[in-house]
Amino acid sequence: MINRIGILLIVAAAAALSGCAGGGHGRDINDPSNSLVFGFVDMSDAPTKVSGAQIMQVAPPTDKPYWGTDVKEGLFYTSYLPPGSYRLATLHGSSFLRGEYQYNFPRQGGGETTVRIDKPGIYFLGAYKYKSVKSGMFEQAKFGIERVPTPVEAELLQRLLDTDAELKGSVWADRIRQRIARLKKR
Amino acid sequence: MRRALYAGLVLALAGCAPAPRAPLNSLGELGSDEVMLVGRVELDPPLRKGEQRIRGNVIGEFENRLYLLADEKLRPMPDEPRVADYAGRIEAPLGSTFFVRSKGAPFYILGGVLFLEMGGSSTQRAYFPGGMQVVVKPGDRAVYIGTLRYQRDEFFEVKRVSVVDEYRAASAEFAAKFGKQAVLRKALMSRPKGAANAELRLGLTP
Repeated sequence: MINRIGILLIVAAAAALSGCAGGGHGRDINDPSNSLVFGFVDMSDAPTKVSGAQIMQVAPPTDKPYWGTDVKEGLFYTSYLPPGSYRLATLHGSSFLRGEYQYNFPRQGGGETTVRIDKPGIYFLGAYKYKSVKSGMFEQAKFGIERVPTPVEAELLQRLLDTDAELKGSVWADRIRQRIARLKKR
Repeated sequence: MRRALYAGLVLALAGCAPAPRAPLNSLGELGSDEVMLVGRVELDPPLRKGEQRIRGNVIGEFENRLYLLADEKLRPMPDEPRVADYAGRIEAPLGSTFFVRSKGAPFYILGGVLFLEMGGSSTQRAYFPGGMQVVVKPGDRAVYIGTLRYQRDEFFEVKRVSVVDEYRAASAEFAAKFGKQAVLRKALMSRPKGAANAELRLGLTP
């Protein structure tokens, strides 16, 4: 089952992708009000890999709603989000032959690629696989994503600890280890 | 190539979008076979700062407006409305009373479209359920159809749809605008009985 259908765009300039790198709007990674939000997307069937992802803050209102994430082999994450409501907004990628791509998720609808953060913590948006969606000659190109069972949350958290030195050197290291331990007890 | 064609088509259609039900400033503008519709659309909570981003040179009025798509026949709201589906739409200013010209015949409100983003890298819309019948009778000159209220969350998920009777306030506004002699008949929009409308699948009840 395809969970969400988005719109696929070829963008002309890398400037359109500004803000795709991980960033915390000037927040400290050890700020106690931060939450870690992460997810995974398998882009093996997509025109490009993913090199950037943006999460949009939909509440409370803000002049800077887009939060960049770090991306590592399909794993996207940010550890700077204050309490609020968020949705996965875009993925970006490029390839030598196909150029720059932007994968836009629809603004309307809740579901698994959205999260309401009432209290600071670790929030997993899920693991997904890119699916092609046929569209008509005069239609905008589309794509879908389908929830997949793997990689599981604990595996992705371990990958974060293993690959992100900044995260490993922050307050998040202990929290992530505790979360992994809880997940393994289930 | 296909994307280039699409872009060209969008540009071409922007300039020749079908006409909406036009706003009226005087009952004298009405033809003998026409009626004025009076009503309102509300979002609850209302649009907040930054929720709608209309940028650049966009043809048409989209800011703080919800387009109600209409048809003489009841049919499901298209997943992705085509240009022709916008013919005869009501461009309802959110939270304000609209006064528009319409054919003097019953019709259906299929649903609503709110443009959330335009002029950037993509167009984003939110869709709202409809399936409402508007009953216009012969001889009507002005009909009050009610306030269509959509309760929604921050992700634009519609939680409840209701038709609210605000006739007294609308009637006062109507009289101030068009004169006390004009008659505004109340005929609230409603779901037709027994209609198997796909738009009702959310289980929303007026």
